[in-house]
Amino acid sequence: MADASSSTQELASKEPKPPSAGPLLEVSGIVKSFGRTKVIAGVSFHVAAGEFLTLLGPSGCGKTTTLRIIAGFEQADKGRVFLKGEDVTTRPPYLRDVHTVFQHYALFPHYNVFDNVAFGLRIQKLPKRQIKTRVTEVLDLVKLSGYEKRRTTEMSGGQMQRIALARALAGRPSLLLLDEPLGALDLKLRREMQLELKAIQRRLGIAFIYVTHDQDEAMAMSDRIVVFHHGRIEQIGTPSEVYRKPKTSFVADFMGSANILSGRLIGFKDGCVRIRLEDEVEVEFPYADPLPVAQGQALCVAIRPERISVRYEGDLPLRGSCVSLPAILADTVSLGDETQMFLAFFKNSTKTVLSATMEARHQNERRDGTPVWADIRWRDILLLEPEGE
Amino acid sequence: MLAPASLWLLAFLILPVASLLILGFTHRGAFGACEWVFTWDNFRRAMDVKYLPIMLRTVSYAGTATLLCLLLGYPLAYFLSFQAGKRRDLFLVLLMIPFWTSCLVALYSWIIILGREGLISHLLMRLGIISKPASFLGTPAAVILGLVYFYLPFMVLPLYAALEKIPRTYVEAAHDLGAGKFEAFRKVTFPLSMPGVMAGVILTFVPCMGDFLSADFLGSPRTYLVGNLIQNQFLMVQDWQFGSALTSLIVLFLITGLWARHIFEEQGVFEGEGEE
Amino acid sequence: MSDPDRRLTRRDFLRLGVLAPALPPLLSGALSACFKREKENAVNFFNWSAYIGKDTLPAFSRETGIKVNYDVYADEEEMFAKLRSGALGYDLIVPTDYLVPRLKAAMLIAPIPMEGLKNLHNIDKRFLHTPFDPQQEISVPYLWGTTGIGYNKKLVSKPPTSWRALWDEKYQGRICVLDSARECIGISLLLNGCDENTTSEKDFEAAKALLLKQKPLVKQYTSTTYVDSLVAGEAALAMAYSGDVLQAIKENPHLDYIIPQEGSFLWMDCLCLMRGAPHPEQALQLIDYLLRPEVSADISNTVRYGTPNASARSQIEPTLRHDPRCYPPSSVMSRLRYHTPPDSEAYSLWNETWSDVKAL
Repeated sequence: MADASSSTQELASKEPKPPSAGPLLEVSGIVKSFGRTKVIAGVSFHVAAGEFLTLLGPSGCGKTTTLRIIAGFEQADKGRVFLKGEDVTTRPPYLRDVHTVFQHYALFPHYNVFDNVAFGLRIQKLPKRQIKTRVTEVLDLVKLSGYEKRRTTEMSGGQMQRIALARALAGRPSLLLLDEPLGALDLKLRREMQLELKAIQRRLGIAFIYVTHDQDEAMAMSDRIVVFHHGRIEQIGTPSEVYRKPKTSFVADFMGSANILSGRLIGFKDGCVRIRLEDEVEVEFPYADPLPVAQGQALCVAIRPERISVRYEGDLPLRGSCVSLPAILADTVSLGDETQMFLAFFKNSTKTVLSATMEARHQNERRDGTPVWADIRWRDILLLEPEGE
Repeated sequence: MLAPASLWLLAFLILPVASLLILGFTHRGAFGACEWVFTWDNFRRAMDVKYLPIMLRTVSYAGTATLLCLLLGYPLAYFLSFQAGKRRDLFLVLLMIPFWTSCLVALYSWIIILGREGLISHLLMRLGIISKPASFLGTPAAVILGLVYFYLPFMVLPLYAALEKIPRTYVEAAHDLGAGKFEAFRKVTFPLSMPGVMAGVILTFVPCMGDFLSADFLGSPRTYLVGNLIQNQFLMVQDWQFGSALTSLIVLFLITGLWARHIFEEQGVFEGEGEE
Repeated sequence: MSDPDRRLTRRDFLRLGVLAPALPPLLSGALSACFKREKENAVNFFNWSAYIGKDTLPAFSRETGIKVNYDVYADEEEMFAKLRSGALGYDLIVPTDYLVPRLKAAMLIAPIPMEGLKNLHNIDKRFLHTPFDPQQEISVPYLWGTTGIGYNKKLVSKPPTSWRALWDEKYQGRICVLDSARECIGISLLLNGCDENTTSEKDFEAAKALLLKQKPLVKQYTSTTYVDSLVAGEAALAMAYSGDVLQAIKENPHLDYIIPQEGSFLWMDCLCLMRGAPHPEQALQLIDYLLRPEVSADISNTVRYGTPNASARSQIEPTLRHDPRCYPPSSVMSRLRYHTPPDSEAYSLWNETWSDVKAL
């Protein structure tokens, strides 16, 4: 282990620091269509040196295409890509100081582990001795020392993933692009690899752009998250920002889950908002953040299930400032140590069912159909723009 | 599914080859009748040094034709592997056209093109390269051209199959690691297409070794090949025993070649960078 | 069977072994042929390509109601190989003189009941009881021709008179030579002053040496495409069969044909009845029909080979009848002879020699 850490330090220290002025990578106004399908409709963001940035979104949202434009495999129709302040928009991939870890690894099947990792170094025509040292270092880093002569086709998914990582790191890029790198691994291995990847990123100080559709993964690893939806960026922020202060109902629902209710802002006075929910119930509570819409307009109200506290007749109400709504317990689903409860709130709206999650021990054996109260703290009520388009 | 395959092999490969081999060891009777007497004579005759020049000529023509097929076929297959849908189907159909026409018709059209009054002669005159009509028939180049013309599809199709199978991401990975187009081709695409190259080379070289039509029609007496010698034994001089011995030797030669390749492959001679 | 020992003929062997892959089509062909044979009023005729009049066979069918299934070959050694390897079902074939004894020995042809041919008397007596069929029991003369030199007048400085013209270095790469052991070795032996019956290795070595001397000058050994080459000007001179060149001369007057002064060979293509022919009656009818003067004359007019039919002579086109290139005067005829039908030993020698000339 001592060896590994010392060599890592060497790796990191040899890398000259990029000039601190300006971001490492800047993507500005990218538009890309395939045929008639617009895949990316104007995307801009930047990556700072050493940052772990995640592009998050459901499949088909344009995150992978964005990554491929950064790598140079695709050309944007509009917009520019700057790397260390240089415009690299039209540069071929082999002239960009970024390396990619591909989704299905793309290890060269005709080379052994050593040759795969040494590939980029040989292209750079480094001296043999140096190549050997570097390959040994990165294989050490990904804990695959001693596997040099193995055929890549004989290795497990996790091992192939590590080789792909080692291959991309061997050239010491200032920016590493990772396209759903853990997508093909099983859950347990995935969790391990997440920690390891994050640790390696921290140790080397290389900026990562990480594409995933798994919000847990994004939350666990990222410095910042860029949430994609339909080729646009919904929100950019730290994991806690996008979780606590989602800007759109899509983000609210995609980052964890959320109950999205339709509502209308019917009053705002003295820091208190008055909102009519589902055209039925009116609630009033203090709201400190800027309002997403003007008075009288429709908006979305997002409430995270785990923030709903369910109270039976006779239980004590939640202490402090909260909104209490009467409801009927419609269904309960046990999820191991948690229970999901489906509550019907509104008389004339059968579709609107709030779900609440609570730990199993709070769950008495209540039959479905029992009247209950749902308490929600004021600060857990998120007011968002209405879902557009 | 082994049984039908074995039967197929037995019927179409082993039986004919075994028959040839047996025939090669029998004695030739009156007017080529077959006498069931064991003899080495036919093989002894077939291995006579006097046939060495014709053997070498055949190997060199077949080798040259195979190499040309590879040089011409590889870019074509490479191009095809980037085509999709109807365009690709169209190109594949165009490639197969030589198979549709009777080979005699094709050979006659080559005779016309290469002849003294032919297209090439006219073209070269027009360009001022030659001053009076010249015939290109009867030259080794014409024979090799015929071989290339007939066997090019045998090269292109396996190459295309191999190239088309290579995932694009391998090439992208190479570019990503800094390899330019040529280097990505040299270090990734080409090595990964080696099975196709090998299949193409075998599928082209083997029939070239036995071809006699090209030499017959486009060649001269000085471009006579083993195929012509064998055909002559079977169809003209009624010496099937000698023809069988010659054929068996060629088959033996080819099998040895394939076997040697297999051994080399097992030992990994064709693999990797070999730098470490 | 005249040869009833344990020897299996190659034909039998082939049917079992070598042609196994081709068996299904052969079998189905043979089977359908079998069924047809029962019912059909037909005759299966296997002839040289382009060796019959335009309307000869249709007219025969119209007159007799017998259908003619007509197949052609371009090389009779190939035809022989085909018959040997079991291509069955033919009634009538047209082998050249020297091949007749061999076909007989291989038991592929049967005696022809000559008494059934009422037109046989038309044949010139000179062409009957020849060395290859002294009893006149197994073949009926069909057409005859000579081997000589065809040339393109535009491409030779003076007309050739000798076989030596085919060894003239002036014409390097523009000489075609027949791909035929019989003709090439025959002429070589002739030029070397050897007897055709020789079995002396020395004679064959000398013949081979002479032909190898010619080889660097030869454009192609071919029995089929030399006329095209002469017409196209690709070849200046060609060892040729009379009728092939005479046919082409009709369209290309710049071609000519000579019989060299050293002498040459004449040959007779004969009608032969296959052993086990499925339609012997109809075959006999066809032979007799082909012996009619007007039919024979028409064929000769078309293919420009000589007819052995004396009664047909008057109906030959006058230009052809008086053309010494087709019907040479007796002074020339005296310098022509048939090839000696080789015995098995000689046959091997001839073939191996020729095969080596081509391969070396």
